[in-house]
Amino acid sequence: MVQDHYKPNRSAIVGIGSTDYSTESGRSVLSLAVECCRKAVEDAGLQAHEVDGVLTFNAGDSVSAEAVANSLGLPELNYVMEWYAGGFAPSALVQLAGMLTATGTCKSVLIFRAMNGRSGYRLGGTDWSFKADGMWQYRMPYGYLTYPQTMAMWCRRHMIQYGTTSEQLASIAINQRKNALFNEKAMMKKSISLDDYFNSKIIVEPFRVLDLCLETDGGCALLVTSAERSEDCRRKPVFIKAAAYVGGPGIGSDWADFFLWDDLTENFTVSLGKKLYRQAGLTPDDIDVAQIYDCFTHTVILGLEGLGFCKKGEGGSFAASGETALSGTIPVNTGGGMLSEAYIHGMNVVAEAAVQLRGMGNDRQVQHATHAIVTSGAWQAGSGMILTNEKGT
Amino acid sequence: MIVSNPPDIDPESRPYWEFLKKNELRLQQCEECSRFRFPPGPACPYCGSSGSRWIPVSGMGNVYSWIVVHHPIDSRLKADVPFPVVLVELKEGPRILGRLVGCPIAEIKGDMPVKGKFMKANEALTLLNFEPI
Repeated sequence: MVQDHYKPNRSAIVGIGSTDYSTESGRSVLSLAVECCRKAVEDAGLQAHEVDGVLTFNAGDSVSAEAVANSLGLPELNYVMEWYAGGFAPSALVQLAGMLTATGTCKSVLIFRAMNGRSGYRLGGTDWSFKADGMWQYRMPYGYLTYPQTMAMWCRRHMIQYGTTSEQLASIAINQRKNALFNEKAMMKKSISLDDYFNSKIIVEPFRVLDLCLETDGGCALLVTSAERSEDCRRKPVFIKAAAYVGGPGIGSDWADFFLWDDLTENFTVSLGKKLYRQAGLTPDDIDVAQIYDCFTHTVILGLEGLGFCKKGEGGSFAASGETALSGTIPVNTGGGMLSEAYIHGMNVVAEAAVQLRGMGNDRQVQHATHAIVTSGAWQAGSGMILTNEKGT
Repeated sequence: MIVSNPPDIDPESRPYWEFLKKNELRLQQCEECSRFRFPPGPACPYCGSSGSRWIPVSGMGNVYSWIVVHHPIDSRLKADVPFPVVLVELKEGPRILGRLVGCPIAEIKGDMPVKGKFMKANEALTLLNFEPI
């Protein structure tokens, strides 16, 4: 197996940059992308000529890597990539940046996601009508049109099989909102109660509006370089101890194509967790903080189980027990996540892992955080990493 | 039932929809490993073989999971909400989506047995829904 030869900590996240997160930026996506990328480079204490790779992903709603490189005035590009991809991409692109810098292909590499996700193209938003082509032709004619409906189907199966409840889903939304109140960047500034949850509009049973992530205008970028170069950067490096992409069997032909996925009570995080722990030589007990991709509350339950923080089927009760709070045994989505901080398609989820390992989480900082796990994605395929602030080998 | 987004039929899917128009549910069966598959495709997702034939199937199955759509997403569906959509595991193996008809929402249960029901949307399109047995 390839992973058995995996060498950890060869590269590191050295820069984090983001714009304000809002519902109406009033700006071009290019200006958002350039701002978050420039901030990531400045944060690292590097100059533009030391950046020679730019990676990004989008859903037809953003700008090219080349356009950003051009605006940043990068003198030389040694790699670019633009992936038509969803939330499964952020960790996989950081992984790629790690490979590019560890092999000497690039000196340092920017990864960004920027969009006007509320004021512009709303992914899965009302009247988001497009052709019922490809796999959509077997879903859209029935009024099954978008991603909240897709995860609702996964969630219902979990309820049928394990008795997962709406109260447990609510506890995830409430916990993450609490965390967001300690995060000055978070879009949501008001705490929520169980009543607020049950009074929020039903979108698609079993989901209410508070089960769904936000819609955001903004950008978030990370800068990755080799472990060697990271020592010269301004901030404490956050090393990539393990990184993996997983998909299949039954990955499907598009993001929401779960027809061939055998068990809707578990997602890609089951195989992801195994791969990451093996690469890192760690177990779930060694992880201090978890950032679990949360396009919906239920995705967190799937992640808690898949990554081995609790037994299969017990993700709901585990979340409701308080173990995932800032004061719990495994704090989850410490910045509020995409339910309460912002929806930058998972880039901000990865960024929060790095913030915690730098010790820059202010009032939401998890004390003595050494190892963070982060996931990107919700369904049949995804990526993830174990990050650490310990140099080690 | 309103069909806001009719299928954009392609060479792989044409036989499926053509059979539905004749009130026949047929799925592709792999000539190599004999497994049924859905959605239609140019090769078998289980063994990779490209040979297939279109075989009639029962339309009988169980509700593997279900949702109730309240927010219509496409505003043309406003008159239809709330409506249930079921993911049915067919007796022959594959899972398939459809509206659940003839069943009050409060009576939907996981794993309940259902059978296919053809729904003629117009001269050019018949959809497959499900109803309780």
